[in-house]
Amino acid sequence: MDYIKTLRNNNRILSETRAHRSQTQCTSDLSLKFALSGNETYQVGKRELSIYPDSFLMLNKGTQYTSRIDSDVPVESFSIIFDQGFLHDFSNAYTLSANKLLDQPGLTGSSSIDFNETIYPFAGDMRFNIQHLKNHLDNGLQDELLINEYLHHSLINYYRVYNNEVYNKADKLNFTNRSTRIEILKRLNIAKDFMYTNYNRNISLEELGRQACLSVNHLLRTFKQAFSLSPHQFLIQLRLQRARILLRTTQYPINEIVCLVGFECPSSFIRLFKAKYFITPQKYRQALI
Amino acid sequence: MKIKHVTVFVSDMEEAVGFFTEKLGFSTPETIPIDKYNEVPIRINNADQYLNLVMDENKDGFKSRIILSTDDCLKDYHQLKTQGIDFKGQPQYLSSGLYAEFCDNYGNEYVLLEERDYTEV
Repeated sequence: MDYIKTLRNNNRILSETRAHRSQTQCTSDLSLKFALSGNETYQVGKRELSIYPDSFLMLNKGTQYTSRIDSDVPVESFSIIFDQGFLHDFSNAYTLSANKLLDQPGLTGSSSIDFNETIYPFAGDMRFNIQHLKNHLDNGLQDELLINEYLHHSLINYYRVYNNEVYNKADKLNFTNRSTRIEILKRLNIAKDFMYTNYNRNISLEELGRQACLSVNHLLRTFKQAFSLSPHQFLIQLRLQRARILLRTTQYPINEIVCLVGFECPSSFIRLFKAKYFITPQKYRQALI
Repeated sequence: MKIKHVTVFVSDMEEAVGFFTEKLGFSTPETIPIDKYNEVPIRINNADQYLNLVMDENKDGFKSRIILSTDDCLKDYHQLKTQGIDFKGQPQYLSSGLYAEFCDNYGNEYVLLEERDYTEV
């Protein structure tokens, strides 16, 4: 369903279903981008970032990007653009104590919020809240207070995801200096985004290191510290997760899915799938019917 | 076996019936015999389940804590708030989902719980 909803407080929500589209834009405010089915590729600077139904992208205010959809089946693209005032109010309420807010109503926390632009997992509460919001909007919800309630909660969810994915992971790195940890994590996130985007082809460690500006040894060691998985294990988990989405949402034969997500051999795919989800792909699909 | 009636003690029946029917949107049987007015069943969303409001003028009956299941906590929270229900706070996240708490005027607590299955991506 296609609509652009601009609320009175200038929060905006965009929903589009397209099979082909390419547009270059500049984000007017902090944006969250979702692909609820299919996938959409964002080109930000030299980086290419693809989002699938299991992931979402955050873009800061003023980021220039090109978004591209090129698919056999229509892709449901969904974006939320937060008004800066709304974001500030939220961030103050979230980070400052109630007393401080009462004492100094004009006080602002950080003057500009600049998050790490990377792909985040789209799961848990964030997923539930966005899906509820989308369903309501598709059914013509007009109540702006309720829409803003959902947007407020999306931000709560986003802050939590950010905390988990950035601060908690950075803290796992063995460097004494905090800014070093954040910088290394930023590079590891580039490597992670590269895998998110190119998950279905062969990726060598050298290539991954080059993308992230880290030597192979350094990448291996720090990646494992932050994500508790080696890059290879991370990639396998990602492929299995995406294979599961395809099993659930498409009728493609299993052999085809194996190739689509980048596995070479069906039997190893089935073995790995069973080890992770305790069910074979075939049975998983049958159980859904 | 299943639960059909859950007792809730209230100290003002007329007000309580108004609270459940007008604010929460539950229904009462079409006619309530006047002599039976110290015990009124409130039907929950057309299901075969009832909250039995029992008159308790001395307020010495036990207090109930009732968990209402919803498929969209934020929507119901918002709607009930618009109806004038006073929530204890913003909806909060639990490991089992999203919940919001409110009270009636008689000390009984209600939890609006949206259970969420986090295992499926």
